[in-house]
Amino acid sequence: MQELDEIARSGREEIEAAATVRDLEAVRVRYLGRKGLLTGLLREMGRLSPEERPVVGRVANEVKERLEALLAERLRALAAREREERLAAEAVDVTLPGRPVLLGHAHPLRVVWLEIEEIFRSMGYEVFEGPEVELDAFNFEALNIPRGHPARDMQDSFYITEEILLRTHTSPAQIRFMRQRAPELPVRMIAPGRVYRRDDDATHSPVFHQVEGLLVDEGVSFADLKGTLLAFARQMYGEDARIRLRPSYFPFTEPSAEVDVSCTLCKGTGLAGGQPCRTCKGSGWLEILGAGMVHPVVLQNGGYDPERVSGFAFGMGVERIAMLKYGVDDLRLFFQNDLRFLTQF
Amino acid sequence: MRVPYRWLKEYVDVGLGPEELAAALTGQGLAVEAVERRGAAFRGVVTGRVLEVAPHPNADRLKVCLVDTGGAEPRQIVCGAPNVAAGQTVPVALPGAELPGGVRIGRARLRGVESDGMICSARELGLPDPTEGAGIMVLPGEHPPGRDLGEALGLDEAVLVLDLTPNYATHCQSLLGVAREVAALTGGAVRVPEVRVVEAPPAAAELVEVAIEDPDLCPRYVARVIEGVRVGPSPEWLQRRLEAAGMRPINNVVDVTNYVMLETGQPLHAFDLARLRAPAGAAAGGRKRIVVRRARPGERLLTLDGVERGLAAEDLVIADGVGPVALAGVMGGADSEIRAETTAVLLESAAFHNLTVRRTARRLGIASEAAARFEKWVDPEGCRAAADRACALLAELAGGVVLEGAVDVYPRPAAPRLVRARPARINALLGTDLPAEEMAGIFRRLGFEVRPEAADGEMTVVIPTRRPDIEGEHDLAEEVARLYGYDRVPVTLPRSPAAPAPLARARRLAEEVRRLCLAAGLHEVMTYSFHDPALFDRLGLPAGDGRRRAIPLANPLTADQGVLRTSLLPLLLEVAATNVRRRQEDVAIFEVGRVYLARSLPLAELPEERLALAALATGRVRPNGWWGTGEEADFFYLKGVAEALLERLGVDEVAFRRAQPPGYHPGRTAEIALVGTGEVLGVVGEVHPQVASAWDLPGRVVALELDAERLFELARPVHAYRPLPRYPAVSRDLAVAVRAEVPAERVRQTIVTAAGPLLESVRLFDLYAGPGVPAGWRSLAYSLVYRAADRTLTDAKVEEVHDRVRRALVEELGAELRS
Repeated sequence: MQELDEIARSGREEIEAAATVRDLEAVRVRYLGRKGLLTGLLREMGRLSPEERPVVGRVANEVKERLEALLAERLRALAAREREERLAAEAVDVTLPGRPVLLGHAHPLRVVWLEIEEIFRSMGYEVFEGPEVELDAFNFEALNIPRGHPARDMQDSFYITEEILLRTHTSPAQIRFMRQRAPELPVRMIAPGRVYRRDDDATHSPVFHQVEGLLVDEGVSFADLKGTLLAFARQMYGEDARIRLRPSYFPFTEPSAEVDVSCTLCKGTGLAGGQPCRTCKGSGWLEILGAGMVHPVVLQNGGYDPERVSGFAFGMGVERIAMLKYGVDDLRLFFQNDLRFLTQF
Repeated sequence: MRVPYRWLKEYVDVGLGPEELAAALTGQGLAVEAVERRGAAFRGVVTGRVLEVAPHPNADRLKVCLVDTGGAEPRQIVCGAPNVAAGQTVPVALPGAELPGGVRIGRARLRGVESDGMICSARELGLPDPTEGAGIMVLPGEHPPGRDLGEALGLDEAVLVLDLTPNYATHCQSLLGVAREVAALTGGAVRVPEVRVVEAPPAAAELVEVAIEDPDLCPRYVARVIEGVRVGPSPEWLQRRLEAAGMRPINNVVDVTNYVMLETGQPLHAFDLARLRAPAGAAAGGRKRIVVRRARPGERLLTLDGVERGLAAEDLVIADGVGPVALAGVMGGADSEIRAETTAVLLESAAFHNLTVRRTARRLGIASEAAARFEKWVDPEGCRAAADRACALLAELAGGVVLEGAVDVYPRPAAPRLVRARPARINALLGTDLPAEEMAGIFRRLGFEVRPEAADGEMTVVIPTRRPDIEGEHDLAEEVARLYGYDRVPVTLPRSPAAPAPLARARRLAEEVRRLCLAAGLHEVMTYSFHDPALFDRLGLPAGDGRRRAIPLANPLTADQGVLRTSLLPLLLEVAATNVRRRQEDVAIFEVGRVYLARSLPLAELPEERLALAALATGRVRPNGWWGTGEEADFFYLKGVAEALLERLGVDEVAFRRAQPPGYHPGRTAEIALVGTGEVLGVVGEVHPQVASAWDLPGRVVALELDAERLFELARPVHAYRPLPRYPAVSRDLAVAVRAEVPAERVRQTIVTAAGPLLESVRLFDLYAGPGVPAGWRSLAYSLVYRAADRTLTDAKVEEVHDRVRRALVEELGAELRS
């Protein structure tokens, strides 16, 4: 019995003294292992008298259980400490830059193009893409711009043959789409794409992009055009955007309008930081598109009866909208494709 | 079109300041680009009377002047101009004055003599300078000294600069035209100047006859004759008005024609009657003959600007009895122009066919004020009134005697157009609810006569001949809208319900492909659709290569935009070159865009526009960093992109076959082809070093070109789900050495074929050549995964299959097994 007490005492002391998991394991083996002190003692129990045996056995088991509990507790403590030490040693410099995720950048014109397309698609406008190499008949004649018409002055064109040219606007898509659909109603189309004019400077590019829109139905009005463009402006520029229509001229619409949106920078106040706003030159308005009611001649050329249906059409320059959106002041940057420019978007 | 505000007020009550008027006109469709105040270019300049001019004591070229500038004492001013003289009225910049360009004038000592200000030349003031900088400006007429110069010259006047759209250019290129728009806005009345011509015999018709050969090109020609004119400068007020409107004063006769043109929109031309020639064989002193006709072959004309012009058959000319004396509506001839000694004037007031004038003006590169009006519209009904107005002014300002009557040939009288207006229809089109009377009121304010018809408000509107832009009801709707105010039209949404529209399959796939390229780290570029045809040579394309069949533009801006692209590759090489030149040496880019493929050349029908995809990379595609070294762009980078694209589109059964297309490295290029048919979908490879260096690209350049449109046709992006495996897999690695020339794809195929259906996947995880492997050989290590869908594979079964694979490699490829 004395020996048991001694084992219990020294065992407790050694367990407490163990500094590492390994030391602790050695202690366990020394006391509770197959050749351990307590194990040895229990094995010698056979030599005790039958009266002593149960008493000593009970005490021995108590000692064993106590040591096991102490061992487990100590093991938890030591393991926890060792884990902490290991994790501390594993610390990294979190201020080092991360390994780069190399994502390409979408072209800013594409971003704007898709944004416009998405807004109108959500309003039910079907995307249609006509040819860029176009017949004079579609680009001009069918749009109420006969040969010699003064409006041809406004659009100096790249010709390929007498009859074939690079389209100067996306408006021929109006005719092509209507002819595809007639006499179905409503006709609801958005036609994004490349257009071409013989002009090249900071504000004109020989290649640029437009988005054309067309709605033909019974009872479509100029008021509907205003509502549709306002809905577009609000989605594109935010709920507080306002629009303004000014009378203008396009041979294929009548009445026609230039459409301004309240300046995206100064919110239409014309002032930015007490100075005249640079984006809208102090006017509070930005011209973003041209629009109007489809000219009866154009409806007719598309296969619709202007006495029965009416429609509106609009066209906007993707570059213009992108320039305003990102504050780009030189159109040519979009086509130079300098990576220092492209990777900003 | 420049509209001097004060001048405009002579014709109509405005009741608005210049800026307010500008805003109102813009809202009405006459876009006012700017409100200009010409006096703003200088400040502190006054009129001065030169009292005395004395030589400078220390300088031969300088003079010391005493100038009365309205103060108590005359000022002493040193002046270097040769033309300064006592008695002149001159502009004096007082100390503190500011001249154009921010020049400030102070007191100065010039060669030891005080100068209390500066006498200015017109050029120094930013005004048109007849001396061309050689002398000071001398003001004609009487001016009290000390008056603000801007005021004295009428330069303080506001000028509205209009940017007219073509539909308003027909009737608003005149002060009266703009006044009519103002009247429509305010409801006021237009004051057309009253004209009273005092005539004297003989009749003009006794001196002149007029013949129009082609009435379609000249619907009306009015000629009047004024005798006894004294050519000289116009009065000050007239000169100032012309200048304010942007025209240069010349002499009283020419100035009157220009003044009346600005007022009425009717261009006039004054011929020196004495210089018009009678037909050969006509009696001396007989009638002069004016013929309006097309130019004849070989005819030439020296125009007013001193340029000898060769005429074309499409040109309309005014001829006298011998030959052309003017380009109708464009410019007069130098021989018959008004000179100092001219006494008799033939005044032309005509209407010419707009497109004919436009063609001639454009062909000859003449941009005259007259042509700017004729090529839009000149109302034949206005010819006579304008001629009379000019005659009255010539009598008044040039002392002329107006001969009786006019020779007025008017073969194609213009008639007002009748347009039906249905208020209900106009309201439906505009989305408004305006009463018929309000619309009628708008038409009347525009000067249109309105004839009411039916009870429902339908009316017939009589459109005057000055408004050719109004052809139908829709045009009247626009008049209603713009005068009612676009801003007052309600805001509604179309009634037809709209569900979001789906995107067409090809477009959807194109977006998918774009997104994938972006995810692969390629930046999207957008290049021009045309390029220099010389790029085909730079690309090393042989003579017969299909890409050389590019569509040429008939009128490119520059030669380097000469042909439409047949391939995106040369344009991506250009982008890479631009970036590398700008020290952006790591380039990874792609473009999804159209190429233009002629079905025949020259084009007889529209070409095929085909969507293409191309990618290009050079330099590093993954940068070096603290984590280690990066990754250079190489063949396998873009091959990986191509494989990912094909996988995403569900285009399997594709093989990469070694190929040698022009422009590419012969040993590092593959065609991407369908396994079954061999149809080629594209190319991936290293750009030929010679081509790269032709674009000054120093490193290796890799490119990928795909026929996107064909790819989308083949795409099967949605495929059936494959159930997850229910039984465990067994992995086995396998390393074999084969001769280096055996393609890896063949090794893989051999494994796949030999293994049969139990092989789930095979992956090449190592490639090695070097010590331990015989020279000319290489070792490939594969990880094979075996699995059966319906049972757990036994080791024995796996061994059996794996052994078959090993045997096949040895027997079919002569491989040496290394594991």
